[in-house]
Amino acid sequence: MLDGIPLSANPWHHQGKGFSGASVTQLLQLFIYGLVLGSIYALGAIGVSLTFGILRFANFAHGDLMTLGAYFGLTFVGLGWPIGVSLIPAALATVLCAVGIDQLIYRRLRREAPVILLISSFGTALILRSLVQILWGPNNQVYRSGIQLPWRLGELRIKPDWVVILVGTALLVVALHLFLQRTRVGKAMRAMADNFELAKVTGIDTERIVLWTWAIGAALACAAGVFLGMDTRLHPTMGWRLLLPIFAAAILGGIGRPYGAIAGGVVIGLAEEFSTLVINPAYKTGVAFAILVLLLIFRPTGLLGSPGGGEV
Amino acid sequence: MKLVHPPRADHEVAVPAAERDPSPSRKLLWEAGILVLLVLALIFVAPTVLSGFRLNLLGRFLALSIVALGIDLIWGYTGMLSLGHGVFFALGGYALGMHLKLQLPEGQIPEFFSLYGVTELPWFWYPFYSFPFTAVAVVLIPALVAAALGYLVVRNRIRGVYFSILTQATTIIFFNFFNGQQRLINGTNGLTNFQTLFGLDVNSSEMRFAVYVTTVVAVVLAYLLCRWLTSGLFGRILVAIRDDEPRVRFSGYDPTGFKVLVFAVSAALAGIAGALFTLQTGIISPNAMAVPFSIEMVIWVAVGGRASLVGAVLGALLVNFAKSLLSENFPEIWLFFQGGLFLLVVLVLPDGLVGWVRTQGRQLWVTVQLWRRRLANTSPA
Repeated sequence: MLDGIPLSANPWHHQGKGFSGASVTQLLQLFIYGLVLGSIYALGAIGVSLTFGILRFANFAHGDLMTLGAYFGLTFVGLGWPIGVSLIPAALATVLCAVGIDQLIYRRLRREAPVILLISSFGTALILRSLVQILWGPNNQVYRSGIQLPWRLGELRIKPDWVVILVGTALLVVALHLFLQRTRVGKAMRAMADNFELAKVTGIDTERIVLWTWAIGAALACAAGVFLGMDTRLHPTMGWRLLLPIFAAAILGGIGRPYGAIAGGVVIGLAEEFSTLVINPAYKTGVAFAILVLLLIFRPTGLLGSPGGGEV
Repeated sequence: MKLVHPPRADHEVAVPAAERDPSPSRKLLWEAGILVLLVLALIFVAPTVLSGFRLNLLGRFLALSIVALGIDLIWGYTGMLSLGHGVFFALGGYALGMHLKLQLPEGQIPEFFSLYGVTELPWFWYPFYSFPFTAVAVVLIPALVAAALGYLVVRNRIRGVYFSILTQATTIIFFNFFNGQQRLINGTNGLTNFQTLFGLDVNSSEMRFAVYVTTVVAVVLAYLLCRWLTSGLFGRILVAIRDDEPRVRFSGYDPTGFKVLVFAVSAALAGIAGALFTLQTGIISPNAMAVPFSIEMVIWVAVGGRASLVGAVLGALLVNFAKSLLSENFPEIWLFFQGGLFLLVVLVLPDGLVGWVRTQGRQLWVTVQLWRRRLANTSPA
């Protein structure tokens, strides 16, 4: 699809760039961009993958949950708290919202077809987005005004915020790993994602696990939203715009596999950034969708998934 | 006089069989009669009652109801929830838009090209000089795109939520492409500022009325097409695919062809709707391919009632009138209202308005009849 674009004729295309023409620094710079973007995708994709795997529920409100988390963060930053500290109460607030929405709406729909759940999550997404718009206003906002000077390593430029994002993501991923591997709830969660009926038969309290799934997904979504807000800025549609790349990441990693979602997020982030070497950067966001479409058509169970199974 | 609630057991025996289920041919006659009356009302009464502005709105919404019919065909009847019909709608709109932009004296090219320093008409514009080609393209381009996509998707047995996500991703790919191509199709500004069609001014009131009547006729034809497709064997197979696709396969039918065909038909309907809509709004831009519009289309059908063609048309008209009323007065509330509408439909009206009338409404009618009978029996004494 993207091949048909006449690149040379486009005035916005990076001149003289191509894989052969790019310097090592350029590649490294793109790698860092991709890693930062990929971290944000990964944190979002874990929640999507878990809700999809455990509840059979493609949650289209997940992006707006990220937005909500980012704005909660803004409120606490407004109180004068540092961003790292604000993340904790913001995540708690986001978790409360997610669990509340589940109890209020989705709990009544557990037995419904996935498509019905998807539609209800659209409704939730729209309501969350307009609430954010009403409460915090429709304009762009930032956590910290003024320009942050990047560190220079030779020709490489690194913003301090990126380090915070990467380290924060790494810590959250390690925490998630320990949770999934070491705790009973985490094990039950993996069991439910693997085989819902079997997990139920073995006496797992599914409703409790469902709440934990929302809590984990929402906390990570909040972190993703706050990181996105740090990297760019806050806007009521910031999370919604990220929804499909996040779905692409979750599907790439195989639905219901949190580790796959992390890998998927990083791959999509890197692919988007590196694609600017060969295509017009304006089409960068199209890359995730192109990957998604190709993947669904040719390998619907994800790159790491087994071929054949995994139909919803 | 005292109102007595009828005991529940009465409900089953209350209505005579003839009232509950008229014979098929009589039913068909009724339907045809109502349809003719509606068309006459839309063509002869509506223009005298409504202002020019409202009539134009009604015409637009009628055009949108054609997409709703298409969505109902694939979602309500076949169970494929497309979140990408905005693409087909826009393709139809762009096809007609290009023809309208080419209504120029010999040797001139549409004015926006000069903004980007383009002096030569891009090659794919040339066929759109011809109206017959354009008319075919409005139907065929969306249908072919849908057939190609549908074939890949269906052959790989992508269903349910994955199908929805994939169609949504398709809208974004198309949106990005159309949005970025200033030099080919004026990018984000879209095609607008149409002057003439068949040498007549598109903004004259006669032309507007002609377009309105064409739209009414198109809605009726689309309705009849869907009515024909969903009745009989074809319709039963569609419903069977929706309810249990593997069993359809085991029964010796290959669902692939049916699904691809019905997806293409519904895309063609969206293309026609897009062309008629473009003619009435005077603009087609990549926004028609943006995600929210495709989702709105689904909500029309959900509100009206899935698997009911009347419901689809009704839903499109009602939701859009509500939208224009709300967004005229409180634009920021519309998003909130739309979200609420989704939840309302899922939680309270799972079968939409028509579904509600069919179940609850009928129940209510029966109850009212019972009351009346009881009152008639008890009041003389």
